[in-house]
Amino acid sequence: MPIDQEKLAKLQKLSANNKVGGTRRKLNKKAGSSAGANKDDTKLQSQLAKLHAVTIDNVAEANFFKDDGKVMHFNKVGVQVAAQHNTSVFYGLPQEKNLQDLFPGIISQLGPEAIQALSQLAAQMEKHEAKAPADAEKKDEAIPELVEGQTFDADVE
Amino acid sequence: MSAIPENANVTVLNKNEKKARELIGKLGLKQIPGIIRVTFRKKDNQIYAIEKPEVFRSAGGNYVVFGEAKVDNFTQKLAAAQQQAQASGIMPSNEDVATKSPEDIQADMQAAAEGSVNAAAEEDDEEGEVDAGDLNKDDIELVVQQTNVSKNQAIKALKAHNGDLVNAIMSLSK
Repeated sequence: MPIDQEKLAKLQKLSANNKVGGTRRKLNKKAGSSAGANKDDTKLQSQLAKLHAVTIDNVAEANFFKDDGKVMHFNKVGVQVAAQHNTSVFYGLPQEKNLQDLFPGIISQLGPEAIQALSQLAAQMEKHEAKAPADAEKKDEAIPELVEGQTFDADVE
Repeated sequence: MSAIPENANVTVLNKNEKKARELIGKLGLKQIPGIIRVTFRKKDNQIYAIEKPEVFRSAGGNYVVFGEAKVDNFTQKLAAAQQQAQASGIMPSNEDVATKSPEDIQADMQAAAEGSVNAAAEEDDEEGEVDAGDLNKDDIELVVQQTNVSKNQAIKALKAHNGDLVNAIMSLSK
């Protein structure tokens, strides 16, 4: 099969403009450098140094309250605060917990919107304690009392 | 500069905060929605609170919070909330609470179990008027801290509510 020399020349001209290897190398280089820098948070810390952030000592715990009733609880945490810029940074690993799991230590950290919920919870507890003896009485009625000395041999065939 | 009405849904950033957001915003932070309050506690029980926070997560797993951090005082806030609730009549009565979520039921069962244990302890020791009896010392200290009352009053409140911390704190704060 004979090759058309004119078409081959055109294709060679077009392919000369493409640089596939170079493009790939550039992309990889950019992605690698940015990913490495972000993982260490070194840039974040340098920006905080510009904002004159102060490290707060002796922080026992931190809590992020969510609107679905759960809490992101930091058991060990480092806190940096730039007060003039209204910026805080929390270093640590949070655990997502329910609000009931953190009682009673969490009470003092609840906000004003949670105080009414706390009142309702207290009312529920009081109501539950009032219900408990009534259930006990009902339970006794269902079971007939056994009389000592009475035998049921006559009923057995 | 016009005055902003109360409870308006407007956030005003001062010059410094704008600068901070611009600087840290370049680092590619991811915003986390749904967080309504951020608090952290020092080891001397001093509590800082950030109301209406805006939380971002950095690539390294740390959290950046924009919002003013204030020193928090729970006792004063609780007293003010109680007065406000009584004035406006929002305070819930016992009959209003009809339905319970499973988590509330779990909390009720735990409280009832504690109540029965403490009731049994009180029967054994009838002369424990001022004495703490079998009440947990940490509970007494917690009630004293939260409500700023004397230790004897805290013990009486805890015994009146069968060792229930929430009810004891609420009764002493009124």
